[in-house]
Amino acid sequence: MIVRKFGMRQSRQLLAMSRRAPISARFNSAIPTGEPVVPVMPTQEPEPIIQADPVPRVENPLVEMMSAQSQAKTPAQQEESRRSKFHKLGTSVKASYDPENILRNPPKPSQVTLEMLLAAGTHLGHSTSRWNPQNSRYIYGIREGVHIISLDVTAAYLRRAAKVVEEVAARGGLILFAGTRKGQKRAVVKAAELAKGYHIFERWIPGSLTNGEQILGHCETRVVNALDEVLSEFKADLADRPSLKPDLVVCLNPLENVVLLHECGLNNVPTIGVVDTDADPTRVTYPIPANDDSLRATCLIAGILGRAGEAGQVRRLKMAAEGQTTYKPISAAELRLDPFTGLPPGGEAQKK
Amino acid sequence: MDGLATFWPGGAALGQSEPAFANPIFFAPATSFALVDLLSSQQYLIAMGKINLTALRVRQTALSQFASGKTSKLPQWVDVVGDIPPAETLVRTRPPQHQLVQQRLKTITGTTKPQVVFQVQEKRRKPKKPSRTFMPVELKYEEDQLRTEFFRDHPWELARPRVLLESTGKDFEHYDWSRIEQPGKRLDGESVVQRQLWLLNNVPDISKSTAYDIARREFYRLRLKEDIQRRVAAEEAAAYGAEFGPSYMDIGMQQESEQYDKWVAWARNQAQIQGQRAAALSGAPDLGTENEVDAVEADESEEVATQ
Amino acid sequence: MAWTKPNVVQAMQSLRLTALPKPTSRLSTLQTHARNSRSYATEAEATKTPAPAAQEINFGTFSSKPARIIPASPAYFSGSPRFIDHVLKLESLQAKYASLPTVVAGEAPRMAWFKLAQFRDYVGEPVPMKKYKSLVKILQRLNRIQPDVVPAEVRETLGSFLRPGNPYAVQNEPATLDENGRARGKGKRKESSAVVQLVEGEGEVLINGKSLVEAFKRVHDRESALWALRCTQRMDKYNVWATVRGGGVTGQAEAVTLATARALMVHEPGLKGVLRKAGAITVDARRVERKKPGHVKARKMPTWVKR
Repeated sequence: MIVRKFGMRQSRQLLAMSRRAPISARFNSAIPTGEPVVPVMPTQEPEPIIQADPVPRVENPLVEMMSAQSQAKTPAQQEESRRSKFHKLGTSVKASYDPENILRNPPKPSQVTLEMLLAAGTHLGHSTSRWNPQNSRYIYGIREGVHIISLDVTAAYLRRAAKVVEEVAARGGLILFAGTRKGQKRAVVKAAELAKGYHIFERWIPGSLTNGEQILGHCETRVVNALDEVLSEFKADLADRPSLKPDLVVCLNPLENVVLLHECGLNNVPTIGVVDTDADPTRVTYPIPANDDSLRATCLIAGILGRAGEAGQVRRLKMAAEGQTTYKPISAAELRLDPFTGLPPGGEAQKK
Repeated sequence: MDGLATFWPGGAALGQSEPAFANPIFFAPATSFALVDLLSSQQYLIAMGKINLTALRVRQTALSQFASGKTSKLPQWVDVVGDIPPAETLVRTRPPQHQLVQQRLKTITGTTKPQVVFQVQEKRRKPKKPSRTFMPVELKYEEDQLRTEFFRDHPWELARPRVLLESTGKDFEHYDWSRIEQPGKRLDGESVVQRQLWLLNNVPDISKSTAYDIARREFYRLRLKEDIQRRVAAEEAAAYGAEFGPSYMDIGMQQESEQYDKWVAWARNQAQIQGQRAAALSGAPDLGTENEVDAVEADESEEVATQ
Repeated sequence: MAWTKPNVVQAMQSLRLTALPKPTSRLSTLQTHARNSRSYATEAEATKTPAPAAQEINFGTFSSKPARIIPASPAYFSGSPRFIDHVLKLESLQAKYASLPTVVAGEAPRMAWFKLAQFRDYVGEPVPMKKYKSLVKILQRLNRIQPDVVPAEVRETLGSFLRPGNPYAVQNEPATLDENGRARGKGKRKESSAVVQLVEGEGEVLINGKSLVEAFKRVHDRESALWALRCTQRMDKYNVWATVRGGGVTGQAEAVTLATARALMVHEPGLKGVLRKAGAITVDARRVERKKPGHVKARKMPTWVKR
């Protein structure tokens, strides 16, 4: 019916099988990271399998009130303390779910936990009849005729992808976030904003990479220095350069963006994609097995990758402030060269 | 299925590559960079048949394009992809096998203290088809059965609204099923199921039906309490002058009677038209038609009265 | 096919093996740039190593040296970056000021937004009609913010989408009778256009210098030409002098109706309601539908012949 207490159940069964919990232990915040998980044999003493930190019980203000009254000496003091405590009566909502929160303040890759992924519904795949057998690696099991994606795998692949995004951002690569499904717009724009990347939330125009001259030719580009300051004196050199290509493409719905991924293949651009159980994982370089139909799930993944990109940009700018670059900068001479022939302007005439 | 175990070290000579090509699904691209570096992607595609590995081999393609002089500059990401290689997508592994594990507290003969026992429910020893080796397995939990049982006995519990949203995913940590009421969770069928499971797991030598009865009794008591609370609250509010307006039942009845009234008006009109038509056909008005109209009207009023 | 046989493929691969040089030598030159320090956001903060100490650098030349070519807008790859930037800016404004009070659409100040062609010139991109309409919808929502609380930011932004000149600033003065007591009205229908001079009189009608009977042979046309006077019972109180050009007889007659009704409203503005109800001042904007290729007329298809 409903898959809840997923991580806990999973580990309980694993412990019962007297096997060591695999990677999941790294991500599961419920299991303390310090001590190893000891497998419990059936003959041993009953002990709590998961040593979750004790939940602070909700303090009862009535009890507090009574105790405060007993401590107070004079009736006036009692009255005073009663009055002050009276305002504490009733309930107060402490933790509530705000769907905007994940959009406004996405978590960092280091903050990813299995519970977070579970709450976002990243584990829900498609009906078993629609699966792509190439995804069998990422599937944990079947529940009510639906494939359940293994959350520890998702977390591991998500971190791997986040590392790639961060490193590419640190090397000054152009990162393109693409999510063309209805409702993914804000997540995509936010991720691009964080990672100082680029976004696509409407249809990918076929040929934007393979026929970039025609489709992106009129779009403005600029030359910047290592500190991202615009150098306007090179504006004239940009006139007849070929259109730019991204260095990394993050695709939230690879199923609909087959053309984009194909063009990335033709132009040799690495890709990261959210791969559901019905998608083909070989279409992308770095698949993230997760539910691509839930907006909350894709929003979370885009946010995490955006945060990773943000960290990379911070690193790059910090190094630039020290006068270093993590990439080979384009030289002024190179800029002045003809991008097609590789010769300085008028070079062909001299050759003849 | 001998291809499953084929592990192909990176330094393997080309001559050994036959098993991998013969059985491409077991080919592991990440473990064989030495060979892969040297092949162009086109060649590779032909060799691999249907599977398109272009995306997985971006780095090798970039290196070979640079080496052959097709591109003048290596892209920035080349060593990133080298450091963090793409995952082994195409290696099939045996999916996790799940078994139903039951935790019970039992007194074993000869000891005084009850002990935790895990019972693994062995499945029927039915030989599995070889083609099913890599298929994922059904996930089973002990409470599934309890849940089915409860909702079969109480189908109307399914009609109650419930919250499916998980806020942090750690909601279960705030629940303590040694009692059936939980802070921040509405009492529903799931409470009974979880309570019953807790009893089964933690009370020595308890049977399933006993646990069900205990959990159910607590549930009924709380539901009754809720009902009384609701009634008292309504009475109190009414005493302080609250008006709740017509109930859904009243609104429904009112709409229904409106429709009946409409029908009566329509029928009266029809009867009149029919009477006039009959009078016109017969030539002269006679008393009989008027009586008919009266009779129809009388019928209608009777009908309305019975409804 | 011999090509598809594995041994031939292997032979090709071994050929390539010998031909390709090792790319490692050129890679190593880049590593000085790339592998200075590595730390990931995925690692905890404490494990990160501090960045190496800065050396003496000449920032004058460093900051004037070009490093990268990047797109000017984050929407570069969408093909219409300036349009999308505008949309995102307007949406963020809308979200920011969503809580401000609004007035109903009719009371909002009337704004002349860019026409589609003007907007295309403004952004310099071929924006489709549908997308521009969605942008205008956001503009209209922002424009509905109560005028005395509109933030300066919103006012400025909205101002940048107005077409030059303000077409709504000039209020059309209501038409009046001229010194000879004539009212002038214009009307159009199909291809015809009519100009009517209406004076108080005895009901004489001249259309293009001809009498009504000569001008319109059909009784229906005569009726419809003077329908505005007829439905208000003013047939014998006004003289009509009309000039009609273009189109056919029916079109001319109905153009005269519209022109007469408009002229009549100058004499007696109180008749507007009657004329509206009678359909005399309602403009019929229908025109002949164009002929399409592959069709005989606008929609008629050629007869289907088997051979």
